[in-house]
Amino acid sequence: MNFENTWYLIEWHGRTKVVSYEEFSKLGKNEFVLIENFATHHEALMEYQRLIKLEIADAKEKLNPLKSGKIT
Amino acid sequence: MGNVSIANNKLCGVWIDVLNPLQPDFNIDEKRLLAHLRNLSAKGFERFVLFGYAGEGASFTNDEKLSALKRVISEGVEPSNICLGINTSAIVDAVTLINKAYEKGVKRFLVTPPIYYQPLVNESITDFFENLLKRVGLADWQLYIHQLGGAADAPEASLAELCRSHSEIFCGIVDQDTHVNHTMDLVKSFAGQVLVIPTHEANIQILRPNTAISVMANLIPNVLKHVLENQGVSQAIKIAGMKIRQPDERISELQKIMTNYPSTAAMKLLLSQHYRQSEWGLVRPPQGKLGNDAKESLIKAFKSFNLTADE
Repeated sequence: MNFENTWYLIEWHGRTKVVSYEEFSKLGKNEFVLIENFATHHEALMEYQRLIKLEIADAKEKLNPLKSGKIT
Repeated sequence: MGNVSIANNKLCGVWIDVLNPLQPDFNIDEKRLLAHLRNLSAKGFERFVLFGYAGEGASFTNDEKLSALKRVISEGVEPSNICLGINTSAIVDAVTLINKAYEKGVKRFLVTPPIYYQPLVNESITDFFENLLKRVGLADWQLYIHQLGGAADAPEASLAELCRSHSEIFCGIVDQDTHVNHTMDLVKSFAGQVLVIPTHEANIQILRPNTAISVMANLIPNVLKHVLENQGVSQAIKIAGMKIRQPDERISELQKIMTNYPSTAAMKLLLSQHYRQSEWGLVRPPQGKLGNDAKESLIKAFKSFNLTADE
């Protein structure tokens, strides 16, 4: 597979971010963790957005004991 | 790629027994499959068994397989990095699929022995493969016979006969049996003649082969690579707040999580958790799906497994 025009969703210093192949190639081997690769910037951003929404939903779930059924 | 000979280029290293993502109507989700292959490739793992055991190969038609194959090749997966599962007792279907995939550049095929209404004798199995090889009529391809264990196995006498008569095409035996002794018996009988490739990760840890086909590699490809390359101590995996884990231990942990569940359905559920895409959990009937209790228990165990993205 050719990755030259693709985009990477990575975890970098505790943050999730989207980087181009060019930026990705400049990162040190142990500087990041690869989450997913995408053919387009749009797809990478959409996935990034989806994961953020899921994290927000998870956080809400944890913060809302009534909804999670821990307090009745 | 079409003119490059693969005669001396047998399977080597980790080949991922690729899980097949499905749409809600149980058709193949080609877009999601491609995304999965892209992610694995970006991590440095580009060798795939498509429609093998974990890929529910027996549940898909030739047309479905060819459509998926066409899509992944057109999107950049090298045909030389594909080994295609052939699972049918109808010899014409098997030949058609091999020839059509070969036209797309695929030259490695993982073929299951035929099954029939009553047990088959050695000669019948040998005849099936002899006839298959004759009808395919190509010189430059590789046949790997897929031993599923028990009554579905091709008998050793047939394998030995095929070794003698088709040593240039018959390149290996892929052992799906979970018992290490089963694989070791094959190694004793066929070492030096054809490759014997284990698939059960616990056996890979014991046998330390040069080649393995692994379903776990869908989720933890780097761990499998380290085990195969014998990099145990130096490649320890650091998990925040936990002791350092060796690759062998990670395989054992994952094996323990999945031990009481059908492996394909369980691994798909774990991959659905990894990607946070519930669609990955679907399996096509007749593959057994997981009940709600099983799902809940597996998801809980997977959270404790604490998968890191670099595994």
